[in-house]
Amino acid sequence: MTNDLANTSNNIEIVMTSFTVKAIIKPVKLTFLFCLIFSVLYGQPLAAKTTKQEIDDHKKELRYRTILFHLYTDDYFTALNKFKTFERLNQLPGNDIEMESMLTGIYLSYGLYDKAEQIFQSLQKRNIPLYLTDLTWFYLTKIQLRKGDLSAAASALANIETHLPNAFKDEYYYLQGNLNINNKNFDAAADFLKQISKLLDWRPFGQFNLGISLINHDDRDKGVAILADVGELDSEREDIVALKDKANLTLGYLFLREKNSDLAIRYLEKVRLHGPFSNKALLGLGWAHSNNQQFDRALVPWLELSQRDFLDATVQEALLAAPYAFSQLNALSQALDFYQKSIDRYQQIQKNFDHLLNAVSQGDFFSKIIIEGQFNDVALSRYLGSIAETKHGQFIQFLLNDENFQNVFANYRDLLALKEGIAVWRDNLDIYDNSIKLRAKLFKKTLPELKQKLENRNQQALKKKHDWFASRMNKISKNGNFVAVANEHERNQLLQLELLDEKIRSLPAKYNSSPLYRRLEILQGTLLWNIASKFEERVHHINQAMVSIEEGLSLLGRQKNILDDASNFNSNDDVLSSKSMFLMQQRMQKSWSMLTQLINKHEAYLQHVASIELRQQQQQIVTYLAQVRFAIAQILDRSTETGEQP
Amino acid sequence: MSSRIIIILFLLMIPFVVVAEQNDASSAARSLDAQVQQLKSEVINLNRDLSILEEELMFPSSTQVSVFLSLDIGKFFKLESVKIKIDEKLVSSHIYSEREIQALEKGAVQRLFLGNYKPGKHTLVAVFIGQGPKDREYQRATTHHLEKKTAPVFLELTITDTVNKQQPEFLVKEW
Repeated sequence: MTNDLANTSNNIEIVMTSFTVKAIIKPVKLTFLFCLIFSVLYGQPLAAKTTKQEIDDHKKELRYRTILFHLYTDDYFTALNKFKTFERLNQLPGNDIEMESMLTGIYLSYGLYDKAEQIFQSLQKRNIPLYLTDLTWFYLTKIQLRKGDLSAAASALANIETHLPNAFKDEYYYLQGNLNINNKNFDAAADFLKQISKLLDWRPFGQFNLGISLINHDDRDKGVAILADVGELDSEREDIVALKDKANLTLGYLFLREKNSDLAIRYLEKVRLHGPFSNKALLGLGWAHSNNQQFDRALVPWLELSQRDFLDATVQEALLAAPYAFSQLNALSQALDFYQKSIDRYQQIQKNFDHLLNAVSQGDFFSKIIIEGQFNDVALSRYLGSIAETKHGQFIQFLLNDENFQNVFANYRDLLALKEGIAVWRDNLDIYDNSIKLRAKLFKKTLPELKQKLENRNQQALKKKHDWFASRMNKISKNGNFVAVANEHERNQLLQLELLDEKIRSLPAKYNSSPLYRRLEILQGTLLWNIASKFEERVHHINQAMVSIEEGLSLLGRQKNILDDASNFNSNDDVLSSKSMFLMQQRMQKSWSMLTQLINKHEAYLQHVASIELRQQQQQIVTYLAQVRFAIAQILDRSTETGEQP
Repeated sequence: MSSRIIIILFLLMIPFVVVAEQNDASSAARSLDAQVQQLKSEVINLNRDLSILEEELMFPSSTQVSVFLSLDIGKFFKLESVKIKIDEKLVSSHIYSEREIQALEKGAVQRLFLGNYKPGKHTLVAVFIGQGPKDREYQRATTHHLEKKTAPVFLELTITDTVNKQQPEFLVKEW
């Protein structure tokens, strides 16, 4: 049994043998380039006085920057959709090369590597700046790496001269280092890695790869020294701390394999207790103590591990290892208890696997995970990180560790999102279609009425009236004819005073009318003075009213134009729109069918791979169960032979 | 077992992964990947044409009004949310994530609103909520009167810093 357990622990050693060079394309980096381009193209503010061309350019710039908003927030699909829409409507800034560079960046981000490759290749045939030439080779290298064609990647990388923007240089050295590692040119690899300027950005990862490769290619001591340095890096950054853990874990298992348990313990104890590699470290630590015959010490990590999530293979192994340590300590009763509990746990795990296999075979298991994880958080790395928190997602963590499975799952998620998008468009198009029909109906009914109303208003006559009045006002204002702007009450008062004047004049001569005249003159003078004092204010108000009337007339003209446009639109454009919509609906139907087919293929693939993996794990549990039962039988045999009660 | 490490590395954006063995599963995955890339391209073109049709139908230039938001430095104000009212009616509101703020700080522009307004005079009120100087809660409204004619209206709201006053400034520019 000891041998079997030891074999399982050796699994970790594969960690050291299969690391090689292949870089994930990291399009985020390209956003830096956009910033660079952006600052060069649009860094200058517009002058206070802007021409129409400048305004149009600024509108294009605004649209361009909305694409950046979606790109920077990892909403690649919307960024691409906006780019293609603005491009088709000629609403993007005019620099073709810069725009194509941006498009390739979005293509890379959205996983359309073939499209990106086509543009890069076409860019290279044109007269582009040297830094862009180098940059296209840089990204072509990464695309070839993604395809797994290391030779093509090395050729592309060799084309890079000295014009690569500084922000990309460290990664360039990293890629050179890795490709040289792959070709077993370890000295050249080390030289490239030394040129990386930021000590914590690319270099540690390159050093790690170099260390692993040296160990695997007969330069063990050099490799161990490099990994030991990586394991001692001074940083709190999560990715670096994880790399330190991995380096220490790798060294721990290397020494475990070489039967140097003390050194194995030294390195394994450096791995964080709750990091992503802690389970493997705890398992290895137990075996290292066990190899030293210190089973009481071995129990500490194994008991801790046995309390963890039993879907993890290391935890499953610990359920066997911990009672084994008890038995080695002659604590047969505890060993027996633990083995019994392990049987229960293994049976529970089997049930879980049965349940999982059943769910997977029903077809909607993976779509449920996608729905739980939501579509809109489109950055794959963040999305995968959050899957474990979903109800169904926690069961497929081990499946997502496989690169192929991960890629297919990511594509499956994108396809579901595209299908969901088309479903939304389909609903919207129905609404638009109904709107157009309703509009056509309304036009037919109300347009003639509205036109008649407008015609009744006789815009020309109104305009003539307005002009006459304006001219009169001009004269009144020029001549200071304040009586002309008197209000109705004042005009009545003036009239009454005139009547009084007439009455006084008609009085018989025997009356002395002089006092009456004086009083009348005073009243007339006061009234006229009052009217005159308000003249300027009244002229101002009337002129303001004239401006409003002018605006009203202008609005009337625009409304007439709109109605004329609407009449034309009604007859032709609605027909065109309906035709366009019909064509769109046909295209949507076609895409819908293709998406459905491809989604089904992805589901079939995911189901197939998941089923194989789950069955293998089930088989492993069956083996563990057999080992547990054999161990229990051994304990019972021992107790029978010795006469001790277990 | 090595492949188990990959996911963790991927999550951490550590750029190296294991080259998988060229087995049946991986070739099937590659074949699916090629089909997905082709179909994605087609669906993107379809979406482009649908977006154009939608804009022509629903937002004709004679009535179209767009509102954009940009940040210029933004040292004295940390934007948390924004509300847009046109003619006293709330037409858009947005609460910002850290990632969106970073995008704006890098020069991206957000289109906050796209809608239709008839020709004539309209009033836009933008309310900015966030943290002002010395991390104090800060709310500012800015008003803009616009006259819609037959061309589309682009309104750009910009949050900028006035170094002299050590205060943020909220500008509205019509294009």
